[in-house]
Amino acid sequence: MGYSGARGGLEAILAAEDLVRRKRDHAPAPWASTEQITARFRLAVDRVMGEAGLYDEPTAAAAFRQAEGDTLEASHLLRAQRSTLPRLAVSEAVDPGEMTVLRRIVPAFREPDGPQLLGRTSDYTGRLLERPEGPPEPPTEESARTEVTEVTEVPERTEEQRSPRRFLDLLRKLDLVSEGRTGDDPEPHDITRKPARPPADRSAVLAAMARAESGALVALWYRSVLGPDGDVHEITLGELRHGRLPLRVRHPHTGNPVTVGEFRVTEAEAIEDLDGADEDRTRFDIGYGLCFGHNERKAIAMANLDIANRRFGRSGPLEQLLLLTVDGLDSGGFLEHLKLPHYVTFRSMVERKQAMRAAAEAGEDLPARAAEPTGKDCR
Amino acid sequence: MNTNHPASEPQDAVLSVRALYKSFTLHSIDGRTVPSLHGVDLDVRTGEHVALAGPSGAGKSSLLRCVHRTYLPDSGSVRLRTAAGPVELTTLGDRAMARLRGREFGYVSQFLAAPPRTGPLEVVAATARRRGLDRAEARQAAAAALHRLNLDETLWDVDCGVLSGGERQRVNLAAGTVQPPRLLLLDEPVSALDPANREAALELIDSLAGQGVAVLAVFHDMDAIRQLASRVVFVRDGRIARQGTPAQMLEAAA
Amino acid sequence: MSTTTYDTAQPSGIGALVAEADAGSPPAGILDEDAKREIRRACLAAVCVPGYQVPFGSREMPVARGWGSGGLQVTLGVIGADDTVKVIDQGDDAGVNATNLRRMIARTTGCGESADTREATVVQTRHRVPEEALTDRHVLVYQVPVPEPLRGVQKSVAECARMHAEGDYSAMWVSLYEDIVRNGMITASTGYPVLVGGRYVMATSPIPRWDVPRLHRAEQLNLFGAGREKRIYAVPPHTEVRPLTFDDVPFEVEHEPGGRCKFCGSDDVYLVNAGTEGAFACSDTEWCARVQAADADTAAHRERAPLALLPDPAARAGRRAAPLVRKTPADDAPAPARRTRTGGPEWALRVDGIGKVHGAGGASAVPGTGPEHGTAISPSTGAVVAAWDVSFDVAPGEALGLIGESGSGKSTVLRCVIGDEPATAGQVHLASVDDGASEVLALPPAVRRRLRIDSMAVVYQDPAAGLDLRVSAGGNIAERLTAAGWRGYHAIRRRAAELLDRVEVPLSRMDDPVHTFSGGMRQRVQIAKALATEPPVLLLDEPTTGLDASVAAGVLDLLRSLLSERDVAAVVVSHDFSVIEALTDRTLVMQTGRVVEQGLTDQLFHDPHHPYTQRLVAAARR
Repeated sequence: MGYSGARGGLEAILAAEDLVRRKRDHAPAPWASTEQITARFRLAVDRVMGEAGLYDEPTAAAAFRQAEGDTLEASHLLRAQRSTLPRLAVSEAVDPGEMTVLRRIVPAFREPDGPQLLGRTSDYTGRLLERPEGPPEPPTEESARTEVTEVTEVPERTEEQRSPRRFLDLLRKLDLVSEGRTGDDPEPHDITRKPARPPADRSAVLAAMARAESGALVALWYRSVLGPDGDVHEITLGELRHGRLPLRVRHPHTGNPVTVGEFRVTEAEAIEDLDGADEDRTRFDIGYGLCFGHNERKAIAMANLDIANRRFGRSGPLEQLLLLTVDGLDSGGFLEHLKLPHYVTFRSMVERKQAMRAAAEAGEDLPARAAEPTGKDCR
Repeated sequence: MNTNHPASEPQDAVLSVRALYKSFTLHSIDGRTVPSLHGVDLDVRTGEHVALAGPSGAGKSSLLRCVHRTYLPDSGSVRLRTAAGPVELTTLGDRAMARLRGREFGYVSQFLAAPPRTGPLEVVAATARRRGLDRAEARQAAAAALHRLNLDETLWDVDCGVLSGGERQRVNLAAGTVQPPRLLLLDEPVSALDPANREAALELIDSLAGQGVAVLAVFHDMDAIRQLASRVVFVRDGRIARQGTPAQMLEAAA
Repeated sequence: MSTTTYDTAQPSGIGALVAEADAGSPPAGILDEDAKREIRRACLAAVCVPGYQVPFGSREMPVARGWGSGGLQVTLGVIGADDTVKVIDQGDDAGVNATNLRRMIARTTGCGESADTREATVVQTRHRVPEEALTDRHVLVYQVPVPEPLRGVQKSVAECARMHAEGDYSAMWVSLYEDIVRNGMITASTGYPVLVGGRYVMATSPIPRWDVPRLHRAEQLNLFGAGREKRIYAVPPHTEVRPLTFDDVPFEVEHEPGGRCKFCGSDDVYLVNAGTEGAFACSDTEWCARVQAADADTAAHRERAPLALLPDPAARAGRRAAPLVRKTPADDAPAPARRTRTGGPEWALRVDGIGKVHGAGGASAVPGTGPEHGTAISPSTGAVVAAWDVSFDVAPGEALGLIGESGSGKSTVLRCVIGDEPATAGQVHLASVDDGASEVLALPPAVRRRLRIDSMAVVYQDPAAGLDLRVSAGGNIAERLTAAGWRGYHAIRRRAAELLDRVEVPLSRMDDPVHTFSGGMRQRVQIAKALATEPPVLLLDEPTTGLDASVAAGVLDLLRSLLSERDVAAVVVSHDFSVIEALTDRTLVMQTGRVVEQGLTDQLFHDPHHPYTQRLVAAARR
């Protein structure tokens, strides 16, 4: 039997794990079920699902609870969980036109086809802190009925109200859209299987943005507008939707598409005013954003960055920034690895500093020799 | 006096000009055409020194420039006998013409600008190298030529741009005559020189004929013509009015 | 999409499959089997192309990206239940990160665990190679934070990919050159770049320089996993691995004179600081303990240790060592060896019918443009016909001028020839490429870029376009020379000094960054760089425009004498007749994209025929 290393590291790790578990799981407060978390922290759960690229509310809620509310850590848990699972099927392409809208606004037009549906938003609510003493009173029958309007089963809602025509359709009809589409519709780039690097397909950049850390994407958008190297216009927001989409897979036996569930997404369409010398300045171009759950900031930033990437992605750093710098797990992990021991590399750096200083003290600053030895010329 | 031009080229002609016409079209003045040469025929033989004489504006310099292809003739023929045989210069390709220049015939003009920040020795040696000398030989020949023209040795490495008109003229002349080619075109080569230097220059030019060099020159003073020319060609209105020995011509003028 | 959704919401065929798969999979796996297969494929590809970074669909691991997620995936991909794993971080088995990973690997794969390298079959490591000998039984898996060795010299990942593809590592060599110039030695510490199998430059993990020789012709298989950057690369056994350094500048490992491990007394190991009293200890805790227990073959270890590579100040190049330059005129220097051709074409460069249309329509946009129409803008498509049907050739020792006002298309022609922009029409031939048989514009971009190293050089109006202003004058020349294969530091210095001396840049400025130079001096450096490899074709694009008149005159003189003393074929683009007159024998006059007249330069100046040429001459004489 050979050498066996010390176990001190393991004991420390186990102790740290135990401390986290005890403080978290046995905090002097009532246990939070995943139902509670999905209901009370809806937007946090949506954000975790979006940044993980995995849609499942109970799992995301459990991750959120385990991560003690750290959304990045929670998406890490979700993604690591998925790494353990085989990929059994690939869904049919989703048509966002099928969306059942829960909220839909068209800022660019006064009376678009279909409703301006505010839905569940606190956009117009004063940001005044409420500190209720206890749980609110249960809703009356009257208010319960009003609240239900976002649910699709309400009989008064027509098909047009549930799935209104897109504002983009109107722009197309007015021949105001520069069609960047080439007509071919390649398989979307699966960035989880094939790492995307510039130059990459648009689908790869869109996928990277859909999974991006929300704050990173918003910050990159803002930097592109306001930063010293920014060349991005702030777009006119054509349409913003939050709603449900059906998910279909082909039945393994019959081969027919079968709806296996629904998921919520936020979708944004950005209208860009083209002004480049070689662009069609008589028309607009459209940027597209879509992410899991209800996350309007992310979808709008994505739509704006999509069009910016088409216009400036390759002439500047934007494409590389979008593909390689907005993933929260990447940036967070790399940052946190600085906490790991680095004494081997640091020692090597110290050695070079000392060597330089020793050389300087030995007077190597001066020309070392009058004539140099002949170097080898291997041309 | 002989005003009959030879119809065929003499055997020993280095340069044969036939029916040479040249005019200028000035597009800035509504395309006005200014005539210059009107059918010139001329031969210059080995060892012969032909002086062009005539009033200013008669076309003397234009003829030299047409031979040198600084002017592109309208029509006619300019044939140069080279080491590789006779060559028609009016239709020769630009690259071949550029290569022929300096190597097969020299051109000295008071208007030639020496490259600035280059010393006289280097300028003259560069020409000698083009005419086939190696680096060391070229420097030797250049030094000899500059000596002969009395250019002070302290000036040999001085930027040509700061030399006086007379000094520059001697550098041009040295460059034209060093390791002399078979044909030399001289456009008023001694005009800017003081009497002492003028003498040295004329002696140098005079010695070329003995080396078998054919010279076609424009002089503005009759003394030089008398001293150097074996034949004088009188040009007027772009035509050769008459030609003969200096004695004949000066007699006629008198 | 989570599979659990299918289970609860839609009990269908999919749900059954999920349940089936769940039942069959090992209970605590952290990476599904398909992913492992993918990783093994990537590892095989990496072994086949040593040093090449193979992209792979990196999965998220239960450890953060940056904490060994790449190494962990590789280990999980290659390890089996019969294997024994050892994990070290900084050479230490007991560190928290090493312990955590080892327990995760053993728990989820059922393999054995050991801290003894002799028992281990798979060693996952961060920052070290074990001091113990590694054999063909060992797979060494390195955790890699940054797999791209070129990142320090090139931030664009697309450009890095191109540099690897073309083996274009001159930027790397320049950074080493600059390091020596500034610091008197190479100061790169860990992760030292190596050339693998003579082909790919690779980042070494980062392990200390001490461990780099252990990769060369190693017995073990080395696999490198970068999870965050989704790359796997490998150094298979018996592969050449050379640290990048100049032939005459020794590679140095870390050394502390008189340093010894305070525990085991070894002085031939990688030592790290231990405590604040200046003491040292082995970074490899296994080796240290075994030396103390007399369970180590220290004699064989001393053989392995890179003691021949300890720093030797006397062998260093020395900071700013004065290069030896002959002070005799440069044209007395021996002429550089040239490929001499017999029976090849007369010209060095031939351009046939070059055309460039910006915008729609291509060749069909041409009708209705040109001097006779007074416009370069196509009446049919609105495209700009920047140049059309431009043809010329240039012979060795000859200089050809392209003159015209700005916008006449002369610079466009040059950019199309050199490859800065694609031509719409036309052909380019170089005598140095297949004796002129190959059409240069049809060559692949990579081949065209190679031509710029020693077949065709350009001097731009703006020195910043041809130089890296942050790099020293010598370093800029070193860039061209290293691209052409020069690997001798002193030879490069000597050649750079010779060139700078020739273009009259004071040698005292040779090691200063070019951004500290005046405009005229920058232009001289650019000229020196263009001439570094004595290319047979030299393109000059407004080389004196933008300089003060007196400075421009100096640069012009320099160019004239450089051209006269070399057998180079030059194309000079300028709007300035004095530049064209000073440098060229023949000239093409361009107006609105077309050649309107050509001839001997002095003939165009004294006897211009085309109205446009007459206008240019009149303006020049004013």
